[in-house]
Amino acid sequence: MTLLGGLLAAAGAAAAPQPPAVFPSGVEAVFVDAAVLRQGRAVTGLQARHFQLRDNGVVQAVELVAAETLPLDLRIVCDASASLEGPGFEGLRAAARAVVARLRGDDRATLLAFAQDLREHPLRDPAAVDRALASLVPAGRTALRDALYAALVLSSPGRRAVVVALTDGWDNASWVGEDDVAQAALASNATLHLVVGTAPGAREAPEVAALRRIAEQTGGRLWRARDFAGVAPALQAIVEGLRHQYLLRYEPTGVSGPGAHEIDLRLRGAKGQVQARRGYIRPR
Amino acid sequence: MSLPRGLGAALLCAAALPASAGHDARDDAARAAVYDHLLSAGFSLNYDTPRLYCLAVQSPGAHGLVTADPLPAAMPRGTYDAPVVPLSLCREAGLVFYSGAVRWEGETAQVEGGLLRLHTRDPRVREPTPDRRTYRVERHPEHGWVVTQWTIDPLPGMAGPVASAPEQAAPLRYWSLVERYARGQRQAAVEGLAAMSDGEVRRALADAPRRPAACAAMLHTDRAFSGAGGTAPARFAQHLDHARALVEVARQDGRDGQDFARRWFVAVTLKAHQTADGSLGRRLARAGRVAFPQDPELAMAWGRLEEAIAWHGPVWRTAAETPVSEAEAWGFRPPSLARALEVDFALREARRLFEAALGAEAGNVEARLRLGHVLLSLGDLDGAAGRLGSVPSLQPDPATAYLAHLFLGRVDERRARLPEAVAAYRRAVEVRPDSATGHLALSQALHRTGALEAARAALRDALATPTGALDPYRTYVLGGTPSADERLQALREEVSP
Repeated sequence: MTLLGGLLAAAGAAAAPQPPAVFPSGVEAVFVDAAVLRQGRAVTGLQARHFQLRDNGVVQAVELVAAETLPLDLRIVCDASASLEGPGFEGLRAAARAVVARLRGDDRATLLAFAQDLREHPLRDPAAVDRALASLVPAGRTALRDALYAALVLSSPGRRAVVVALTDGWDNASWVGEDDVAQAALASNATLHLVVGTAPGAREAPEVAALRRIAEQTGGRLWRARDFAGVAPALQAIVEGLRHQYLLRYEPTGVSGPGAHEIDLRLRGAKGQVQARRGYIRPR
Repeated sequence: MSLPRGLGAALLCAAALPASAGHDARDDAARAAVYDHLLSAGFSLNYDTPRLYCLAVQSPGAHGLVTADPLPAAMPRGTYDAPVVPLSLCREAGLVFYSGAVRWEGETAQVEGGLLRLHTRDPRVREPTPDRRTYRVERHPEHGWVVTQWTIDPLPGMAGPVASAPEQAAPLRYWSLVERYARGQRQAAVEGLAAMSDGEVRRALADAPRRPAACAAMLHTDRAFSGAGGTAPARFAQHLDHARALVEVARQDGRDGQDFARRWFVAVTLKAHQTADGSLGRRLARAGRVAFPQDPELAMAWGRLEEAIAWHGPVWRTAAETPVSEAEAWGFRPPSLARALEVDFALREARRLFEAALGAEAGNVEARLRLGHVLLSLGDLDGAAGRLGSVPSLQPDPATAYLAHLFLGRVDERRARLPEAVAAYRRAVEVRPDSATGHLALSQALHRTGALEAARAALRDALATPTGALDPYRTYVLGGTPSADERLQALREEVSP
């Protein structure tokens, strides 16, 4: 079974039986964010001819698009539960301020906090960062899946959408299940990154493994941090990495219409590892 | 069996101290009175030691008791020969009490001894520096040998009383505390009780007549729940055992006693739930159901607790007292077969109890709602739909109606009836538009139908709900329960105006 197939199967397995998800018609063009790494470093200078993309096994004609052509939609999902209090909080503030300072024209950044309530805070400038972080009220409940679902569903089509979740990975109050998060990830155009802070000696939340698979399906990855102090550098690295990524565009041809599509992106005539979305759902 | 190295070193040290003046039955009785005095509260009050163990040592010139908190079932508190004491009982640091000499002046004994501090993570005993203690033991005409005075030279780095005032006989002290409680001096009485050893309390309780039993029960109840945040730490567990025994006595006092006992069981079950101690709550609720098998209020209190245990595990607050991650202390539990069985058991218990409550009160809306939710969790979708579907017609409060619609929506989702689920969630939102979970559930169901824009709109509604608005679903998930404190206060005021 392919990874995408596995994800789709997992999405349907948790709450049986469920009808298949269907989506309305929409934009035909598919955008794929691709990071190319070699020995941990970004590979730059590649052209469209260096990429071979298959959509449901059919090779597609891709073009490279300047990343600037699509405005950024960055959602920082921040666990405001007591489990992520700590000395690194100032580091997070500094990292978020730095990220916001680099936003351009139509770029958008949002802090989605979850604990007592699910709350969205626009991050228009550094002062807004301070206000948003100051409003976080630690609480003993954590609805991580609810927050991930919200961030993925709210991600704007027509933008380079990136969701960065800062969390310890534990969840004790969510309504939505993993299958809903997986569905939302497939239907969304967002790249999901998880930054999981686990204190030394503490056990990692068991849900992290499943969420990691979902993140990797979107072209994102899992970042591990010891606490909030380690979360800030990860956030900066993710945003910095966007500068070195390739934005590919193609119009699916020769493949079946609506439904789940598997993407297989490889390099051709270049060396490196590709991180990119492994599938999407084509709307009806 | 050879002596563990650490213990052996301690014994060697003990043997170097003044030899016992005699080793007959009378000496043993005097020593036993000292050990009784040392147990439980006496130790933890004198020294701020997180874990305290008094190891068994019984050999010429030294012997002692085994105690641990909690005491392993296989090693009941008592006196043991040294070679049978497993050193593994000492997990952090251990204290060995030894008694050296017993000197007699007529019928009064001076028991000399001390404490050795063991570092039992290291098999070697480091610098076993004993303190020096002297206990004056006298024979009480009714209560046998009791400690009436003591002096202590504390261990370096440990604060503690150097000497006690001459002691009143334990039973007299105990019942004077109960009287103080009855007169309204509750805090002072609880503090006085904290200064008594469990052995002293047991002797006092063995002293007839046990009156006023209800008042004494409340004194022990307050002592039991006097941990940080109103919790009942495990080391205070014996107070709830005493309280239960006294409530049983009170129950014999006609209808008033019966009513007091019933309300006490409900209140302490709720209190254990409120302080998130599922194990304690279960123990109290079970005892209450034995005494009042038909009582619907008690069935509801226990059922809610079982539901919370299914969500969070049997002990989710007291875990904070042990060095686990903060996340685990908050009740996050990794999946495992054991956990799955635990959840299944708790849900089945909850089902049984809510059914019992409904059997006694057919119009009990909360029992109907909770039974429906439990059946949904157990996968009995028809049963769940039947129970939940009847809730809205019973004119419940908005929070209950909201939860019924929310759970009905989930039943429909599980039955793959997405339009019906969307309709149920819309009804939930109509009843409680200020509650985020209804909007979120609606969004998620719409997303499954492919109505992405509508799903986004519902999510935006969720984000727009008032900050701090109490969402009944969150309260339900986190084990919300009626206030125990008001019920306990009412019981207190009955026995101690």
